[in-house]
Amino acid sequence: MRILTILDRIDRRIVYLLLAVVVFVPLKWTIFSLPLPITPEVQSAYDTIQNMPKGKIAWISVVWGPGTQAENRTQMEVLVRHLFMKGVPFILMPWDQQGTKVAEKQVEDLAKELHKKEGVDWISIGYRPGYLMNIIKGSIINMNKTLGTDRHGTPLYEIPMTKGKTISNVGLLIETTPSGTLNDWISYLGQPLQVPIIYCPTAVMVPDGYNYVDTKQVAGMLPGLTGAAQYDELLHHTGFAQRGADALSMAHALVIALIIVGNVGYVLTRRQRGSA
Amino acid sequence: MILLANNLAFSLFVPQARPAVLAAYIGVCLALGIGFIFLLTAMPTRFRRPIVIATTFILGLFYFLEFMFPGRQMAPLRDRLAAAESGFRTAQQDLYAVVVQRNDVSARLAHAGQALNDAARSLDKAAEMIDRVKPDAEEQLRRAAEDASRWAKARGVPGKVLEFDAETGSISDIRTQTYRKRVGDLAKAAEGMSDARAAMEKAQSVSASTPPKEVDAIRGSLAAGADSLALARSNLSDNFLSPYTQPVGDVSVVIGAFALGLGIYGLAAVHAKAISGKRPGWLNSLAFYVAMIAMTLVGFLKDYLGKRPAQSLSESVYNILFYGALNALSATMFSLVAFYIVSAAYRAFRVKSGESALMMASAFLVMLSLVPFGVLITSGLPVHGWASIFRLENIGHWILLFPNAAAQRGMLFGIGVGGLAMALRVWLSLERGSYFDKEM
Amino acid sequence: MHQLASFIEQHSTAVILWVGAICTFAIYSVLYKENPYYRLAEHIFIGLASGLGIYMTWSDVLKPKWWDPMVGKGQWWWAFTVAAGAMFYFMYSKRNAWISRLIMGGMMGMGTGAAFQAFANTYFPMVTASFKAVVPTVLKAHIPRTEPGLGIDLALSNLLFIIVLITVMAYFFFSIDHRSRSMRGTASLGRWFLMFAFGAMFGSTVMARMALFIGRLDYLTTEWGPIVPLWLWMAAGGLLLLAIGFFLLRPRPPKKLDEQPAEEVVPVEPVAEGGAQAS
Repeated sequence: MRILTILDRIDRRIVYLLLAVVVFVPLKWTIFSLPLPITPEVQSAYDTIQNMPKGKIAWISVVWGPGTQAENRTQMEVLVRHLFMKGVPFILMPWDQQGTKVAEKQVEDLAKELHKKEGVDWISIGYRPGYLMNIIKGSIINMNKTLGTDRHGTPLYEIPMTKGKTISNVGLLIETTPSGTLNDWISYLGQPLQVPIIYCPTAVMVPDGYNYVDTKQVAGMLPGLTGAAQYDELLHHTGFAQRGADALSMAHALVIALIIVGNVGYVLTRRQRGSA
Repeated sequence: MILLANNLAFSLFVPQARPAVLAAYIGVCLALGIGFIFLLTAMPTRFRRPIVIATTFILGLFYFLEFMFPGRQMAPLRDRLAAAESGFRTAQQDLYAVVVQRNDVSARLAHAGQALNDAARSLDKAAEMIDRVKPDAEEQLRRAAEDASRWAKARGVPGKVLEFDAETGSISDIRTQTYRKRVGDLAKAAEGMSDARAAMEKAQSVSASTPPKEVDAIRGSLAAGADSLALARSNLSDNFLSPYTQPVGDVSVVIGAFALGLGIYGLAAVHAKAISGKRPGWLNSLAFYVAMIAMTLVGFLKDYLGKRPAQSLSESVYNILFYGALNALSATMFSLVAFYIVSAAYRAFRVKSGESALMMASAFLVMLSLVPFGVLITSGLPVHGWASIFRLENIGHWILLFPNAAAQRGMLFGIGVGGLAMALRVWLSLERGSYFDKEM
Repeated sequence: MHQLASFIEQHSTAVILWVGAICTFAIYSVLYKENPYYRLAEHIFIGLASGLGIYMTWSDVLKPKWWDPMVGKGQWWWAFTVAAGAMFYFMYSKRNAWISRLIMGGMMGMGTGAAFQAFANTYFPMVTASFKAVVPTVLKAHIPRTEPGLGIDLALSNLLFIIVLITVMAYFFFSIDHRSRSMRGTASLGRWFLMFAFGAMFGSTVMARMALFIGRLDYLTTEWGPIVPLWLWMAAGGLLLLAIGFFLLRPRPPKKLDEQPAEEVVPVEPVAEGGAQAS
């Protein structure tokens, strides 16, 4: 039967076109607004920032580049928004050459929107290569000396936000990453110094991330784009994350449908060959 | 001590800001470096492998020793804090019996009381040690700062080549940093101990009739107290190598940066061959060169043109190349995989066995639970109560948190132990393979 | 030239968006089929990334950590790192390639030393956290997280966790022979449980990659889309419809011989000595 042949052998370009259409429609037009439940890990991340003691600063580690900015930049955006709203100063620590500029631009845009000032509410230390371990251990001895200057070359001990501050003033680490750098943060900052960590991996790393959630080595986790969408819900803000979550729903539905169709076609084709 | 004193001298031994003298020093260093490399080229073959093995071992030894030996001077204080922390954790576990109203509540309470008394004694001894050690540390810091200042004056070292501590204004070198950290750590340890004592006092007031919720909260404070003792203990490391971690890291980063040329040379050689041989697609190789040179050029021009009119043009072109081209190309390359995954899932994901059926079911449940569409499917079920466990988001969450996390942890243990064994083999030069077995 | 420069400066935002969109479409063109535009975009990408690497290695690594201390602060000993860095390039020398192994061995040694530190702090807490309580302390089917005590559901889940962990570790434990029945059974059960993890990894990988595509599409629709004039949209839409129509209605070439279904295999009769071969 021709239908069996079609089911089993849809041209890949038709599949690509289907995917593009299925993702484009919910992005462009809000046809439906689907409910978004808040997972305990995202709630825990939100509560960690809400309950941060006064006088503490946060570190935001940016390990991602433009390749994964759809997820990691969105995660960083929602957390930075919350930090700005709560008045928690933070230090942006980029570790990727290309991601540095993208992350800094995102924070600049948010700072402009929420009327926050660089040097008072946030700073970026610019691209820093090298072993994370050395930076953390050096910061334990002398944070301002180790981190040196901000992206404009101003020494940290001259900046109002970091003047006189040491590692004990660091009350939170946010790790946004598409790779396995969390181990270093846990090993040298989270475990020995008991600094809470909010883990923001791309969705690929989420199954592995639940390991750390279970052992409570991380205080909270934002699983990929949906984690960012849930966080945006908690902040009562609508942005790309929610639009993306709806598009993601449709994409997942398409993938599941195609897998089922492929398997049905395969089974029927095999039966037909068997009976022929 | 001698090492620290040498380091102080070394860190201050700079030429007195005369460019010619500095250039001479740098020239001598370069010449010595080249001479060393020349010596290496003349090295007999039978010495080469032992030298490589020794270098690998010694440089790995730095971090190994820095981790394995936390230092002897603070060891008794750390032991006391560890004993106190252990008492806190024992009491925290025993108080669980009160929370869940077990039969042996009184025995557990007595055990918890004993543990807390032992912890209190350890804390008292630790406090005595801190009172004894802290004045010495402060005196050492004062002397180190004075020594540094005297050296700088005696050698006429200009201020701009020195680093100063922002808070005290004194010269900051490795020695003063070490002592300053020690004084700070002792103060933080005392602070952690007083937080722990406050938690301990609350816990000592618990009886069998205390409401379970209150006991649970007290257990939380005991845990926090134990954590602050653990924190104080880990900070009290006086390993002699720790202050050098940052400088060693900086050196390795700089040396690693010089290796960039390897990658650039490799790429450039391949594309140069394509252009010179006019191979099919040589225009693409030309485009590679144009793009690389353009990006490098505008990057440097925008930083070094100062206030010239061309600087803003350079900046605009840099933004176009970076935000417009590179950003878009990088993100789009990664996003191509989305299409390939859909196509591959459709063509290749065939359920041919029980295991693949289980994998598919798990994949479907997780995929649906993470997106709003999946939530919509089971939105008719109640949010609370026993029926809520059949909601897709709860099922997906349970899969991720229990069977998935357990399987991931099993794999992670295997990977971790394997990685550790591999690291040990590389460090001790026991590893075999095409690279390691190559003739020298 | 001056006019071009001022045009670029004044309209840099629009130029950035157009360049981004063109690059995006050039890469996506490979989805239809391999073509020179994709190859060109790919090579430009590699060139730009290399150029950025050169620039940022100088501006963010070598200049602040090496050049400024050496020349600005008089720390002349940094000049020794040049010799150490030069050792890498002996990789290209046939006679003295071992010198590059010296420096690479050193860097690898430092990396392995760091790995020991990471191992203890990462894995030991996981080992202790794996010892979960499996006996319920409160005989209720489910207890909310905010309440103390261990309900039956959580106790069973913890028991499952431990079983999965042990069986998965048994599956990967190759030092013990898997010939005994108990070991074989345990490892086989571990393989089944691994399917949960693989399914979860597949699902989350799909989600991750979809998110990246959604990000790109969002860029095209919300950032680039609004600056495109309407007539261009209509022209592009018309071209796309034409292309789809052509693709669906294109004349298909006749099937080649090797695509035809295989003929039924006819058993060959044994050939008599000196006789002709049977058909």
